[in-house]
Amino acid sequence: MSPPTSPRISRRLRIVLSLLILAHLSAVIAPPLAFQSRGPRGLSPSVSLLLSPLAAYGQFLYLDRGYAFFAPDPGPSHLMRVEISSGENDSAEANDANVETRLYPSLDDQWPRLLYHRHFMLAEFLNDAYQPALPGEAAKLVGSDLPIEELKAWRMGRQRYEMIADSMIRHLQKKFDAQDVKIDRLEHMIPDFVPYANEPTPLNDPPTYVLLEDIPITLDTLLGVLPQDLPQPEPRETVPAPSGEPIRDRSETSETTDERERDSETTVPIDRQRAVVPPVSEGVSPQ
Amino acid sequence: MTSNTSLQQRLKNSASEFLDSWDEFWFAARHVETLAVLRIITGAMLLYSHVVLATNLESFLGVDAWINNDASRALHDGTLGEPTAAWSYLWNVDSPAMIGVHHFVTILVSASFMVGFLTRITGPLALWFQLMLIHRLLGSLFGLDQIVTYCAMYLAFAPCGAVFSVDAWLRRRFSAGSESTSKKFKWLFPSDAPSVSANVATRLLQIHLCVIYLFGGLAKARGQLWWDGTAMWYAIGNYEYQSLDVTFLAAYPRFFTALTHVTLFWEVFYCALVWPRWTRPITLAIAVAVHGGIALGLGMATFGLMMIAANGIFVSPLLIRRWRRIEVPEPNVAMAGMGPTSDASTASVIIASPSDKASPSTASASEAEIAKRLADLEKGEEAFRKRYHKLKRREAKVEERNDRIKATKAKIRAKLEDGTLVRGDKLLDQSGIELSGIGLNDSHDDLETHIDDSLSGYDLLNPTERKDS
Repeated sequence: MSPPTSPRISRRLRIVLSLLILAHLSAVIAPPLAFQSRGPRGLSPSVSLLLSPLAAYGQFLYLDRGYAFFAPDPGPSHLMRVEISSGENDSAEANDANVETRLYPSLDDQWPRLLYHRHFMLAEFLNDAYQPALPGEAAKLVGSDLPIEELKAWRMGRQRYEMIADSMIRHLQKKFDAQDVKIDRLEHMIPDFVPYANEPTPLNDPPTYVLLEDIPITLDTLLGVLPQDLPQPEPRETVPAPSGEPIRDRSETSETTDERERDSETTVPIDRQRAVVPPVSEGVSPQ
Repeated sequence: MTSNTSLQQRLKNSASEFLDSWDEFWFAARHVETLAVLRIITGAMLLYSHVVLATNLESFLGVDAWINNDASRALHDGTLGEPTAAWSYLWNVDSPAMIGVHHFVTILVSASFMVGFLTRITGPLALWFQLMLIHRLLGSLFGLDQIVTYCAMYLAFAPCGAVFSVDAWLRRRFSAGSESTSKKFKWLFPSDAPSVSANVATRLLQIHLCVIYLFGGLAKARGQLWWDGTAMWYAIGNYEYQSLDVTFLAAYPRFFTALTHVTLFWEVFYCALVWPRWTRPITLAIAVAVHGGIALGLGMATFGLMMIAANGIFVSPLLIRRWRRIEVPEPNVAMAGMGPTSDASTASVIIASPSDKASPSTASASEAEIAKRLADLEKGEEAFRKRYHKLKRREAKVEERNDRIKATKAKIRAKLEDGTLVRGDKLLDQSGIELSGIGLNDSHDDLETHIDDSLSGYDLLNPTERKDS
């Protein structure tokens, strides 16, 4: 072995430092590897073996990221439409007059751009956390078709969504001193480039905003998304390009940010009913 | 049997070469200029991010935030999923006054880190506050928070405040005139001499960037739109991201699909192309183009700028030293100034100089080193002159003795010719003394050999260690 490059570092210190460097690099590589190697049956066992001893270290240092920016495909944005009612008058007409509709994010309300982007990420976060409510009779189906762990995971996912949504509603109630706040999730579709090139329409055209309603999942759907019934092996690769038409299936949506992808790990593709959003008097156009 | 031995020897050699390369890659000393520039940009970005947050603090921290303390804690501690170690004491802070004070301190620390004031302390503190905030701000984070945290993490424990900083100014001010300073002082206000810690921090960030791009590229490769080339359109056609309207590109599918393909391949192969010297400029140029495009077109100026700054970690500090008009040894300048190991040999040379310890800056260290070398050369020249005179004196004596011998030989030959030479003649006794070791032929070979031997092993550049013959 040739003489050391730096006379200030002893051989023993170099060995210790080398081991620490290798451990750190493992903690850097393992999380994105785990993100990519997660399938319908869970995480790859070998990657899990690599990840587990360093998971806490990586989580604390914020290394537990997937780095899947605009991946696997760039998709539509998600927004929050907020209806804020002061509720000081009991009559229905007066209530309608007191309802204020806002859109998050909005460049009109959030400035500078970094603040706007943080609100944008909050809207995406709520959408990623969404999980439909379970039907009341779901507990009766627990057995071979529906393992209890599966049911618990569904319920925990719903609790998670509700806790996030409740927190946001409380924030808006406090901020606007409102009695009642309703948050709807919107999906903003992106037009296909061929029709857009032929006949450009504004990107914020009202029909391009689709309301994602919160409807409890049906029993059939619940049983239909068990691991053995999931499309095998790579549902993401059959994703059609966004065409501007309302998307029918959760699996068709693609994630655009790292935050979205990380949180979507715990969600399972589900059916959702969507509706084209009726034109909103204000706030539909963020600019 | 012979082939086995040969194989073993080859394996041994390979292992040895690998260990040498490993040592060179991680433990060569490196100048700190690149890290100092990155410190300024990272500190500025942390400061900007915290100031923007301060304008709407109650919406992001505290009991009535978008994601309140209870929800943030529940999303981390296992109540609503798998528990994580992403802990933050801010989950327990409800008082708006406390949150305000905490955030004010966070801003102060970031500003201090940016200007390089007490960087050894404010660096780790800036990282700590950033970690506490991002573990609290779940839901509103994006790529900027990742890259700025990683940069802060690798800078926190490197002497990145040695140059372009208040620390450097303080070091010059307080160490002027005083030859010796305490260890604490040297640690708190590090000199800009090359260091191993600067190299380790640089290498870790370089590899981390490679990991980010590799997995970013592999994740994209799982999609369809990145292969059919239309992904770029769905980025520029996204109204919520858009900050520059370039939707006219919809009419030029050949152009934007080409951009898509270049982006995908660049991202996947970044980890390989950024190391060789001749592909590095191209790889970094594409990085600037891609992130510049994100900054200008997709409304993420902060993220784009920070990623470009992070890519700057592949720029050699020697390049910045040249801009600072600090002399850089030519062989290393010729190495394009950007090589991952290009400044290592220079660093070794400078480290090897004992004058480096006494001088406060590398510039003065180089001058001191040159002065010492000149003094050594002068000393060597003096020693050489003395030895030359001594040899000249010896040569004169030998010449004198040769003349005597010649005269004696001539007398002996004359006596032989006239038959007067007899046994016991005094001339024969003289010649026995004079001719010993020289011989009767007038050759000076032995003398020359003797002179050569006396000079062999004499190191002109290092006269104190010469092997005296």
